[in-house]
Amino acid sequence: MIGSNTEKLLGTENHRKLRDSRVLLVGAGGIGCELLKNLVLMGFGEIHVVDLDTIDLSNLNRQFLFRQRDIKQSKATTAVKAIEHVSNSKLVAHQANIMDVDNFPLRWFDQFAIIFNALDNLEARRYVNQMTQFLHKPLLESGTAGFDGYIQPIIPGFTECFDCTTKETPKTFPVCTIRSTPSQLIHCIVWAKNFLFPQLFAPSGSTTTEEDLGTNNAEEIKRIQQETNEFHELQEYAKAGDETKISDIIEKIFVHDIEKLLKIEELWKIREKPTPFYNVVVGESLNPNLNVVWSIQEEANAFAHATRKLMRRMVVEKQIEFDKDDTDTMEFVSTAANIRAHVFNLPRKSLFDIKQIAGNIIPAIATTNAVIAGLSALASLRVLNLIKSKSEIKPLELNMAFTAKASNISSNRYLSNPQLAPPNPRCPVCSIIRGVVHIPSSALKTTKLSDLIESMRDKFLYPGDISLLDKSTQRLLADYDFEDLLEKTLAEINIKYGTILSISDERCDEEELRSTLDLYIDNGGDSSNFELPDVEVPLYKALKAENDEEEEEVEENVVQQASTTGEIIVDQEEKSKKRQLDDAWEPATKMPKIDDDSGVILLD
Amino acid sequence: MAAQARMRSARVLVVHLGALGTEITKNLVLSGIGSLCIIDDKVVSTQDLETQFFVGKEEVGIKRLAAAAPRIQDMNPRVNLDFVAEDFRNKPDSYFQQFDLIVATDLDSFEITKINNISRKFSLPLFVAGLNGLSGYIFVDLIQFDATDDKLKSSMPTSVGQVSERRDVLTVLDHYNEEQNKTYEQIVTRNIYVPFEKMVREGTLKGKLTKRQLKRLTNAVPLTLALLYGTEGSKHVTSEILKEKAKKMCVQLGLLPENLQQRYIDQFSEQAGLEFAPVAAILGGAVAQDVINILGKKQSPLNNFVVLDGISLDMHIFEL
Amino acid sequence: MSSLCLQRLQEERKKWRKDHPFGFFAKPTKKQDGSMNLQKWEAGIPGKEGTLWKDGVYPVTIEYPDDYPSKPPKVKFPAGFYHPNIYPSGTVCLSILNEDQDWRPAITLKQIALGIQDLLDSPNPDSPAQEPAWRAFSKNKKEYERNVIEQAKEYTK
Repeated sequence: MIGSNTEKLLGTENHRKLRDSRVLLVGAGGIGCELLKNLVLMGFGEIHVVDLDTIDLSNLNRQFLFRQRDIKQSKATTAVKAIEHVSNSKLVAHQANIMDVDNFPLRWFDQFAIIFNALDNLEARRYVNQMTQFLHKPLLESGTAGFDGYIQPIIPGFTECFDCTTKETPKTFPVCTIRSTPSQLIHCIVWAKNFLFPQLFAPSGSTTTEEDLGTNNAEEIKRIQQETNEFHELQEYAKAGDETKISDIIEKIFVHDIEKLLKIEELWKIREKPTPFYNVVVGESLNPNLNVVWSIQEEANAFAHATRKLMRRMVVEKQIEFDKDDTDTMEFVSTAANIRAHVFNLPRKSLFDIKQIAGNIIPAIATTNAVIAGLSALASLRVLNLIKSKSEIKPLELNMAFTAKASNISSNRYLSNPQLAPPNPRCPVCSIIRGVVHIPSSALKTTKLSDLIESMRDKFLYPGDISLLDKSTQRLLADYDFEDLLEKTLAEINIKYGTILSISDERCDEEELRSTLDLYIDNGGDSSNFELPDVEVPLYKALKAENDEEEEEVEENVVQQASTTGEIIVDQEEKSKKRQLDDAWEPATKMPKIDDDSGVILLD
Repeated sequence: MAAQARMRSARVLVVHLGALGTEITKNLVLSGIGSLCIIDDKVVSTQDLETQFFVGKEEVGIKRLAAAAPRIQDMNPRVNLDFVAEDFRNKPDSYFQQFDLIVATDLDSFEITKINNISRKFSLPLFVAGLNGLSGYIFVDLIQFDATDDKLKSSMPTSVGQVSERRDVLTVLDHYNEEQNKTYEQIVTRNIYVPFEKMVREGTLKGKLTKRQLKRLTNAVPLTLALLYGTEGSKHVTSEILKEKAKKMCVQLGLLPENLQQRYIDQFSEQAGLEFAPVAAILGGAVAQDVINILGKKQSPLNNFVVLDGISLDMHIFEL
Repeated sequence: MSSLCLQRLQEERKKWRKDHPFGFFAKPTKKQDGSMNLQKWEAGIPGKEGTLWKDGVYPVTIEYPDDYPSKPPKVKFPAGFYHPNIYPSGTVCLSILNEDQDWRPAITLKQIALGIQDLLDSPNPDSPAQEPAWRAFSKNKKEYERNVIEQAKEYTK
């Protein structure tokens, strides 16, 4: 483009490289929509977008490429269509799961110059991270939770990977868990607060959190959508303030909806079935103690009581927003969550406890997504070495970034931007040697597991005492005490393309052990036989004995205290000592929680 | 919640629908702001297609607002939108009085001074943001603003009194969160702001940063301010002129002029006023979040100058 | 499941193989396809010598969640197991197995097994998990002891 801004910024040569680059964006949700827009405007030559999900009503308040009319459509396809009017890039949408090896085998990832993760779950993030480790492909990782957000460039072999640091489990839940198959009380609370309550009392649907369907079951999706429609009827009751309908509401959400769920038999093959809350007769007695778990009758009474009060308020207020400090809304959410928990045979909690939990659910914030997606796009230029004034990049001089002011880490920095850390030598992912095994499909049916293991022993010098894991399905296939599968063929034990096998040296008393090797099973190989990769698998020093002693000492303390009290109580000193042990696992670039409000700008 | 109600009744003016104006508009419309007015008289250029997404390839040559209006409204039909395809400089001062808050983008320093005079005249909060290629800045003038923050109580509790030249802690209230088993402080901080003109002419970091910090500060800070120091049009500044201005700015800020790197000077002279989508996304997100925060009276607002160095991702907040 | 989880479970198996207390056993269960499931183990906890529990080796299942070792494993006796701190479902109530209490990622299978062995003869009356054993333990020691000895016979070594 003549007079292009980007060309001016990057220089002609770099701009041409950018125009020739093919990039992958994984996720077209909150960060993904923003990132797609940025990548398109920057002018990357070809952009692939992968997202399995379809658009939900709750996405519209921050995923700016989606409209009401797009609900139920593919996120990837819709996002691409919505940005085409400015696009000068070739855009390719894939409505598919990034972890589906048939659609996206390892070599498919290899075509991209860089991969952008814009995901909302750890599993997919870890998967993509692992693929980029096999391919030595740069990855731009990103994430947000409320006002907190981060981006992290990952250069395999040179910088910390996604799994070098332990991750907290995110507090987001798939819609199917919330709407159909709750397995914890928190799922019922999220349902009551973010689904039921707004459906009844905030008809414009302004309060919603990150939700993604997370199910392929067409029947279930249909049911979820139908249920949404039926709630309009309940809304009408709520709006009209018709208190005689309260028992109908109870009947609808705790009996009829549950009966409908029970009909989807597939859901209950591996789960305990819920029991509809039949024959409820609402009484007047209320339990004034907010700190105890109420009887189910008391819950029902209080639910009706809260609903009645909210209905009366609706007449005046027209719409009510959930606020944990608003007694009526809190009582409604707490009782609805507990009754639902009762229906699904889950333990209930007191209103007081639920208030704490409900107050902590983190909503997704559009502006955080916008900032993080901007940072991710911008950071990619340095990773790809497209900045005009910069000489060749050194990976450890690249910066990551995370929100500082908004996360109360600093009052004087909008962002913290530490340089990338080197890989964690104990990382369960990137410290491991990897390679690709090429194997023709015919050989999958003829090769025995023992053949494969023997070849690995020959080629990589593993001892007799090894273990073999299938990391894709988390199975142990063979070790010192387990040889049942050795004479089976790879096909018989369901080793297929995309399977990741992991072989480890299991000798107990050696000073030096052979490193663990991860092998990706891929199609290929000219002959009828498999081809192992040409990688060197070095020896490493086994964990020293003194470490074992240290653990021993801790262990005895724990047990000693257990024997005297029944409950093991670890005293403060003991705890801090153990903390140190745990901290050995901690990474160098753990986002520093600097409690700085001193009015001084902190520079690195 | 009261915060939501304030959001829904707020009237905000966005000056210019460039890369930043587009990002800020998108974020405010998504957030469900009550009403938004955009004033812009430019036509869609091919460069706009590299930085904006409310205009399209087929609309080059027509007014930006005309091209963008349907796409903006489509995003959230519940927001009242007003599009004024005029030069904001031709509007009388009294025109601005109808708004609760002004966000002005892509202005030169004379225009910033002009709009800041108006915002002060009517006691309106003002956000100004601009782009210089891989870098960008935000200037905030809320005149005076009391913000309420919740902060985890640390071993050094917050005390009432002055925390910096422009910030005063008025009250601190402890409250205990049972579930987390942690004590939080509710802190009310009074923020005092200065006008743009005063910041550019007198603002300094002396006594606010340590010597070491001053030494390590990114060149983007003095260079951004040098570009804002009485430069009309702000584009096409030669490297030599910018260098001289930046040196003077370094002296004013308390920075060492010899720390200016030619590479940075060249970057800024080439990229002055240049729009770049990801930089606009970052600053547009930051501005919109702060607008939402102050309308909802949540979290401390920016006070008062932010510079993004798009290479190192350094993004400090300075009290200038 | 994270790689960390899998790696750690492999380490646990190795550690247990190298060193486990006398009379205990622990091994992963088999999946339907014949492979081993490292996330679900079966173990036997012998009662301590010189206690009411001495004649039994008590079976438990140990289930490791996907985010182990950040989160603790869930340990279960057979449903209805008679002990004041064991829920009717068989779930063990022990502070080192509680994420919000004393669970730490460094705790090993051996420590858990020994902790449970200790719990058998040192119940904590302040955190009842089932009614029958708890009531007997606090109100009728004779009955409690009789039931424990009865139960040991079901699980003889």
